[in-house]
Amino acid sequence: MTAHDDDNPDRWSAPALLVLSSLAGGSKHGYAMVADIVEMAGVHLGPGTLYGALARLEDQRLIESLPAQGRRRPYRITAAGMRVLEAQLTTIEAVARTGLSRLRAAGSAA
Amino acid sequence: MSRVRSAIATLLVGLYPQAWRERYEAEMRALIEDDPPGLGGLASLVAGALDAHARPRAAWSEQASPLTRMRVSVVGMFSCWIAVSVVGAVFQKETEEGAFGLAGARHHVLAIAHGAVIGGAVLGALAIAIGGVPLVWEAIGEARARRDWRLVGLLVLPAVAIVCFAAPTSLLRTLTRSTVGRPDHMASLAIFIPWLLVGLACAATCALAPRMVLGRAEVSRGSLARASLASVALAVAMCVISLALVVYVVALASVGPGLWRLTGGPLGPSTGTMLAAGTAVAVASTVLALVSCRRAMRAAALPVR
Repeated sequence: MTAHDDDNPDRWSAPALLVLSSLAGGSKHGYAMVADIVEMAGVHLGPGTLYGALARLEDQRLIESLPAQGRRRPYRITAAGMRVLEAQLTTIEAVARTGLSRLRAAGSAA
Repeated sequence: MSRVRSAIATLLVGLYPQAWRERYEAEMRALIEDDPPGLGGLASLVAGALDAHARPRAAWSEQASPLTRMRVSVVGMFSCWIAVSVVGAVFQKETEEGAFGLAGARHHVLAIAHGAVIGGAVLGALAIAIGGVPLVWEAIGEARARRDWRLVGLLVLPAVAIVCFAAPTSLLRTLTRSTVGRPDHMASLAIFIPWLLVGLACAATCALAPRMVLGRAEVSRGSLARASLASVALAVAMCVISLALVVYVVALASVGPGLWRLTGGPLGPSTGTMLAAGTAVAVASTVLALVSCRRAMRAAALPVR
């Protein structure tokens, strides 16, 4: 992924997608997001990766920070974030459906 | 083990830009406490810090207070100045032989460029004095008022580093003058490489200590604004030095090929190679310094938040 792609909300990295998907279920702070992503996708995001994604998404106004609770600051997805996440997941769903059907067709032919 | 990894992770957070840390450090430290990172997590911190330096984002870089931005820019300028100073020392050492003086007398371009390097160094030293002394004075006052011994230690650290470098250097010079005959190549390397490493550690300490001092001491906006103004003079000095070095290196290559090919040091590179490499470092540092200077001036013009 190039620097240009990285700034394009239509082409995110997996961490950004995982963070948005996690926040689609409600606002969370860093540790809650890490735990939720482990449960949802079996992926453990390191602190540098998580905060890199959070800074990027906040910069793109796809998420926003809420008032800090002690040292922990929760984040929530914005309306723009929801729209872009939906578009991304729809694309992924279509790709997954097509790929799986092709795999099954190849399996039955073999 | 997880406590060790948490301690390393906390240190690695220090690699992020100051403005980034101002925005995210507290919550990231909380995450590190809740979920101590493994090796992959530690690697993610290093990669994240590099990315934050390479691509500062408006979400945190523009939210930083003008004071933080001035502090970061002034410290960045100073680090660049240290790099140029090291190059200047290499330049002085490489061109101290009498043959370079004779070449300068015959080819005025060399003499003018050499003079411009020295003039730039004087201007830079003045800018450092005007911008840096009030900051150091305030930090000393704060260290005394708060009895902050760590801050005192940080303030004296560059002086200690310089003494640690200057003492063996003068000892080596004395020994070299008094010894009959030159040491063989291996003995020269065995002396030169540790000396070089001590010199680089001294330069790194001098470059990093001000960053740590300004991260700990609460200096006034007035002093930072003065330092930001002085950073313009420092940037001019670095431009003069870099330009003069480029002119000197080009002129030496064309009018003094014999001097260019001289090899004096035990590591082997010729004078020309050393000067060309040093000039490249000086030019790169000057470009970075100009960026920092622009940021400092913009931050100084911002209203206080």
